[in-house]
Amino acid sequence: MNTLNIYPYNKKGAKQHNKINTLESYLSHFWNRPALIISSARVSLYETLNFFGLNRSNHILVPDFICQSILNILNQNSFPVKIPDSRTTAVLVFHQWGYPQKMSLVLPEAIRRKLLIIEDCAHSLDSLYQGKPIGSFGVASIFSFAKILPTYLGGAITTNNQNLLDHLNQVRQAKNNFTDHLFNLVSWIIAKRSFNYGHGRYWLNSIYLESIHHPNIKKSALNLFPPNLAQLIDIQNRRRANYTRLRDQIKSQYLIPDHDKDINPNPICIPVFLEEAQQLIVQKKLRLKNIELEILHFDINRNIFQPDYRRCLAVPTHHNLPTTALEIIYKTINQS
Amino acid sequence: MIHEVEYNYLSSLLKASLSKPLKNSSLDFPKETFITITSSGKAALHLILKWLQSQSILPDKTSTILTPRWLGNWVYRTIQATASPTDIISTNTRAILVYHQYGFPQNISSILPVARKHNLIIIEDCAHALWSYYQNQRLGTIGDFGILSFSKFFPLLMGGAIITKNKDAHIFFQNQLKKSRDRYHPLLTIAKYLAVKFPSSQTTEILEASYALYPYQTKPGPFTSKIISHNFSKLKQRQTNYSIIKNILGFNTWIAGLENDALPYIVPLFTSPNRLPQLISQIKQKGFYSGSYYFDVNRNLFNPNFIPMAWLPVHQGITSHQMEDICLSIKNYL
Repeated sequence: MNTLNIYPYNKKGAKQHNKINTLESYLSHFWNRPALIISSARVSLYETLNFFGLNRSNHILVPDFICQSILNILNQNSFPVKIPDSRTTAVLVFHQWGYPQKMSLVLPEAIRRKLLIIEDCAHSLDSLYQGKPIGSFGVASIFSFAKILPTYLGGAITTNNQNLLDHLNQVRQAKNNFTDHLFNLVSWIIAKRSFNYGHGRYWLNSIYLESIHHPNIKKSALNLFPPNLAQLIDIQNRRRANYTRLRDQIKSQYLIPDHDKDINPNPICIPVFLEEAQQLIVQKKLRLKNIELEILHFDINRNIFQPDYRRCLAVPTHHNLPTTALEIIYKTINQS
Repeated sequence: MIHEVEYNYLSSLLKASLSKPLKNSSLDFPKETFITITSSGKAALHLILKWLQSQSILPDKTSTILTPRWLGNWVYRTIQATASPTDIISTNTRAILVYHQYGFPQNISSILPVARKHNLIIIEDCAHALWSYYQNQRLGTIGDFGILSFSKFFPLLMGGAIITKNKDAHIFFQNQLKKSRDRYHPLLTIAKYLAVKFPSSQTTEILEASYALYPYQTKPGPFTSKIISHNFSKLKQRQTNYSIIKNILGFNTWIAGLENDALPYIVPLFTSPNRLPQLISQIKQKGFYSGSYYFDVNRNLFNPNFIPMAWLPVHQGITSHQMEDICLSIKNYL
């Protein structure tokens, strides 16, 4: 039996014969903004910063805790910082785990500081803040499919800036030769092994570093996307149902304090705040049942300008989680 | 083309294979310092950060390390596995990476008081400064840790070292090396060889991708020590070449101001921005590699001033005659 974690890879994805134009068309409709599919969210971010002419002299404000591969990419054409200053020209508004940032506080501060706002929506395709989807606040927003859907590779960018879209289209067209296809093939093999069997994480890091040179997504990954909007919405609804069930069943004192009525998240995982010793016990108990929960930091303020990180368990919510696993998870947590 | 390092890797390997391994004492660091040979400078930095993590000096990734803004990407990547690089001192800053660019010392007397005031660990990046001094103190021994990179000075594809006076840290490094698996060394060596011998966007990509594996391969290769040992005495020629530059071009105030007690990786040549392309072109015409690179003329991590300079290779594979020839030909441009 495969170990269940935050990624939806416990079932083999159904292969389709998708065309990139069809997918981009329904995704644009889904996000209500023009969307382009790129090989990864990292590449979208890299090219966006390139387009806006950032370099190492420009600081970009990032959260204290964010995936190392994103920081590696940011270092290519900017200088990520945790505290904004006069040289900060952009902000990466990271909707951590799919929980929207408090945009009513973040936006005015970013505008006051004249920052370029890029939304990192890698952890959710359709969370809402005050009824508006995340990804609709910034100049550009990046999404990552491999964390939400079992596609192994793939990301997207949404923006209303036509010049940025044109730039990305040009980059995609320019990088379509033998070397790109070879890289995509190697990436595909490594990502499959890593997501399915947990092997070769360091190889995955290697390809993440170099992915910026290869913006086109492999056809095999495209074929694992839901073929139409209805199926995408169905998958998202299943995830949301799992989230709602866990949220309702887990004792409220373990969940985000002062639950914000402004948000309607569809998260990749739920932060569960137990005492540190209890977190380890729950983690160990669930590991025995082939369920892997990581202990990570979550910003309970959900404000990049004023974060407050707490250690917590990251409880998965994805659409492929069986009902029995959900029960095991919330019962184990509540019994702690 | 004469590059900034000697590229005769295979012949060097063959000649050195029968040599005796390097004795740490040959590096002539003060007796109280401990030397740990590693697979690379990046691996050395990785081990130092692991030690600081084990001592709770870098408890998590909110801890920052002050770094210059123009380092190779791989340095930031190495740091990001444990902490966050920054160019602003804050209450989260725990350490500074003092980069002695091209082998010329940073202005330590300006840096030390600030570092001490903020109680910061000082890591000296001596990748370019194998044998340079600041006010008679050997670079690498002034701070808490020094990082060497032998591949910048010897015909080696990989090889680095950690210098420290902290015995506990040294024992920690040795234990980490014992645990390190040896499986990636051939792959990393081949990736580097291809990128150096057959430079192209593809081989550069393979090399950059291979950097992600460096933390998993901290143990030095089987011939690293022998190649250094075999080529050690040749460093004198590098010193001679640098003296030739100082003698022939010493009329120039910039060259005259460069330290005499440095063993440089390359020599930065300063001229007005509109003459810089001509100078670079002149150096290239003579068969030497050059290009425009930024050099911190303030030599101060806290207050840098980067100005474009032309590179002039100075390594020990260049004969005195070649060095004199190139210096005379560029004399008029300075």
